[in-house]
Amino acid sequence: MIILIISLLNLDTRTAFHWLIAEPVFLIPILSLIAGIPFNDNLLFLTMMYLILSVNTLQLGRHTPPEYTAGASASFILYAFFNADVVNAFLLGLFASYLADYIYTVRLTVNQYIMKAVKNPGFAAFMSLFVGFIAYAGLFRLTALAGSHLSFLRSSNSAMMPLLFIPVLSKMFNAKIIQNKRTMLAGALIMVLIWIFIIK
Amino acid sequence: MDFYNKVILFIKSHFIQTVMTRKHMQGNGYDLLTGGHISGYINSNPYLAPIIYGFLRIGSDSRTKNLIASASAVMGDNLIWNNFKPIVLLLAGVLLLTAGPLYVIIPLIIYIAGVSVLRFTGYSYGSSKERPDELFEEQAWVKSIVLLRTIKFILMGIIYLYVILQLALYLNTAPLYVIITILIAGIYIILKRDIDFLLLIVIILTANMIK
Repeated sequence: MIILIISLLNLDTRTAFHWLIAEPVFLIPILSLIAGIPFNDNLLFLTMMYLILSVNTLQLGRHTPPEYTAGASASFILYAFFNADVVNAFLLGLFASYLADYIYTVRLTVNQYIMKAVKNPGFAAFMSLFVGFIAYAGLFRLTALAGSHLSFLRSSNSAMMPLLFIPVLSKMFNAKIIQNKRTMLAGALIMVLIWIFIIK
Repeated sequence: MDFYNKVILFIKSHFIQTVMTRKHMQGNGYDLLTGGHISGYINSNPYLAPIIYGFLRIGSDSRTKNLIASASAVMGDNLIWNNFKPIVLLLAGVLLLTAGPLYVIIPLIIYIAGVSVLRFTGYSYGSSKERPDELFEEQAWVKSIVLLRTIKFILMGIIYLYVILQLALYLNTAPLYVIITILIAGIYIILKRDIDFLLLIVIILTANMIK
């Protein structure tokens, strides 16, 4: 059931609505509330990692980056329902992001056939939504199968956690931050206060 | 356009990218939105589609259509994808850190309300303009982008420092991996490239084997 809900929500990213509801920073907390899973430090870690990746990713016309929203969903499924270690959940989620991008590319071709077969644009949109839903459901079912059959996903070397920061750091500092150094430092100063007075 | 048709247009505008193809990009979505009035190749910003429809309602040549679509894509990238969307995501991140997971709903509602206003009033705005250069040239658009960009970088400063502090916390437990992380990320930052996913897998599997 949760796979069907996640598949429906993922249609928001590139198919319809574009309400950002499938963005990791919204999806993971909302799903943890729906599924009754406590929002712990590991889920916060996953959310923040995918948040940085998502913020620094821009879809421009035909250029499509990895679909990090689908990756975050896959990571959540693995971590929350199959007890996968957070390191493995993040890595497999990243892999799912790339797979989802291939699915999107295939869907562009499938849409071409749908438009040829169906003349009514409303019905064609419905068919395309259905195909998209099935594709996401397939991807997340595959994720669930991996979670239930690959027992090594449940164990990992937690000391490796810093390595997961590599893609995030390279994304962070490849953005145009030099020109906006002072504005960002103002934000960093706010973070220092938040860290001292709220987080600590 | 009466209220009923505006609502129908508003609902249809949510499906502008649903039947996207490489050949026509959002052309099939425009076909659905405009009842066949606009079709063929068109690549624009999905939120600004009603503005384009409003402007082209009387009928225009394909050159004007492409010009307006390109202008909307540039405006949409600058206003929404590059600034408004990151602000909403980063604000949700800040609320997640400071207030708790329930509060992420606030920026989500702000975003949905903002883009819904754009979609609902877009047709009227587009149809009130006579010349293509009037559509996105108003000072209000430019001022909004400048303001949003400032807010975005302040929020980026907050979240980025949080990530760096989190990494720094591992200095106590796994200093070697922190150094390896900084070295590899540093090389990719200097090369101005994104890390290759397969390389990351190799690094982590190797680290796991060494364990």
